[in-house]
Amino acid sequence: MSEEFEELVRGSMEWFTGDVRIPAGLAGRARAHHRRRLLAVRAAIAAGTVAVVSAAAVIAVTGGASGVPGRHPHGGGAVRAQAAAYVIQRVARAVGTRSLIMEISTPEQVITTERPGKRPVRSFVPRSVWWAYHDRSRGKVYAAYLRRHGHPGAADTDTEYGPPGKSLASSPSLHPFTQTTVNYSDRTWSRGTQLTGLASGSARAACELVKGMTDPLLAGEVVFTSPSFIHAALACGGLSVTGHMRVHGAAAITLTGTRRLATLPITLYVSPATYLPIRIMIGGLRQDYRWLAPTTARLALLRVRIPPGFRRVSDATRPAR
Amino acid sequence: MQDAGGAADLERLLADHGGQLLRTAVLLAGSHPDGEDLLQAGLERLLRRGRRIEGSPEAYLRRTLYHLAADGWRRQGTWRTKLPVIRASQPPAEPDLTAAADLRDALMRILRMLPPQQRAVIVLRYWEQLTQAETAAALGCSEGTVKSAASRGLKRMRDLASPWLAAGTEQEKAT
Repeated sequence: MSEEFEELVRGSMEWFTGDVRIPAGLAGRARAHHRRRLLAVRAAIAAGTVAVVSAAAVIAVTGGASGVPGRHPHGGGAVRAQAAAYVIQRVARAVGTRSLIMEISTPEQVITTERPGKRPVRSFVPRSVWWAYHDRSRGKVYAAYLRRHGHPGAADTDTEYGPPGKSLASSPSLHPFTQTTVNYSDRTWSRGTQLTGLASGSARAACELVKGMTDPLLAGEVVFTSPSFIHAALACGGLSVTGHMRVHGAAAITLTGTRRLATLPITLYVSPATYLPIRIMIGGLRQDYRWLAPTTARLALLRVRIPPGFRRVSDATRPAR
Repeated sequence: MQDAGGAADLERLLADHGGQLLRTAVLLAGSHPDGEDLLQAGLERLLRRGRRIEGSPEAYLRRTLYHLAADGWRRQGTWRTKLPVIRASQPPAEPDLTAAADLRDALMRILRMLPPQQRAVIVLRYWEQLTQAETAAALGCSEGTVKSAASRGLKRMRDLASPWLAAGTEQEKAT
């Protein structure tokens, strides 16, 4: 029965392709299309976008021809490496100029964190928006989603991180910063000073910090909300160019975290026009980036406004100043 | 022919192997126009590689066709959207003399709905008549993968074609 069916399939294929003939001009059409593509690549080179085209083309060739990126059996590796290095360099430069305000939006989502030897943990992530510029950042967390999913006490908060108002002792690895938090749920606010190793933004610190992280929420909240840390992660070889895809309907280059950077899967999506990150996926957590010109109105976004009538409480972990 | 980029070389390649390659492309793509597009895309890849191709350009082109087709299907996911349609359709209640053609047509439509890897394996094994080892080498996967993909693909085809197969059997009995 099996052999009969196989023969039936083969016969059907014969029948289906019986009248297929090579059309006239097929080779000519392929050559013409190939020439047009070459011209487009040369024009792109002239326009200074060589890296993106090369990266996209090389990835398209290896990914398309072999089906698996990076597994093409013959050549192309050197060109790919050059294009990838160029993209990394441009992204590092773009996030390193620090001339724009970074806005990080996290939509409501559920993520699952795998734990070795234990059951995976599901976490509800509330909507939040953060802004970061130089040594200052501010974030609003809208906790309604958490309250609807088993955390009735979750509070809407507005938090500002900034440099301390007066000189505090610091070490080469630890830096002080001020944290001001407004809690809209119980109408209170607090201010304290903390020491952190994050502000240094060194490549080594970034790599060491992220490498041990297995919680995507922590990695997303702590590290990738700062241009300097994305810059550091790039500098230490923590991200490599792996392909391209579309984000919000626009083309994006994808950079994937290497083992040197993290145990968590990390993908950074970068605009090929500006080389600025537009999205990151960390272990299933999604965050979208926008980059804003630092106008006066937007710089005001970096400051928490304490609403009138709110009561000051002491910071839970550090003495209030 | 180490340089497949020359116009004469390309024409010669198509003259020698074009018919078979196009038939393979048509089977992989599911229709004549899509098959031509697939072959043209394969030829462009061949031109792009030019002198860097090691071995036979025809073999490279053949491999490229399989990979391009599988890649395109994965992106489009068309087999997922089309599958319910083929499941819902039934052969005519009254058997007629076109039952054999209906069965072949149904089999080819079902082949088009299979997941890319299963489809590629079936085309290579039963159209190109390659062995398991040759199929595995062409697709860059293990022989075990080829074996299981062929088995699952054929089973799926047989399951989905069962109404047409039953109609054909009834017609044979009637005649």
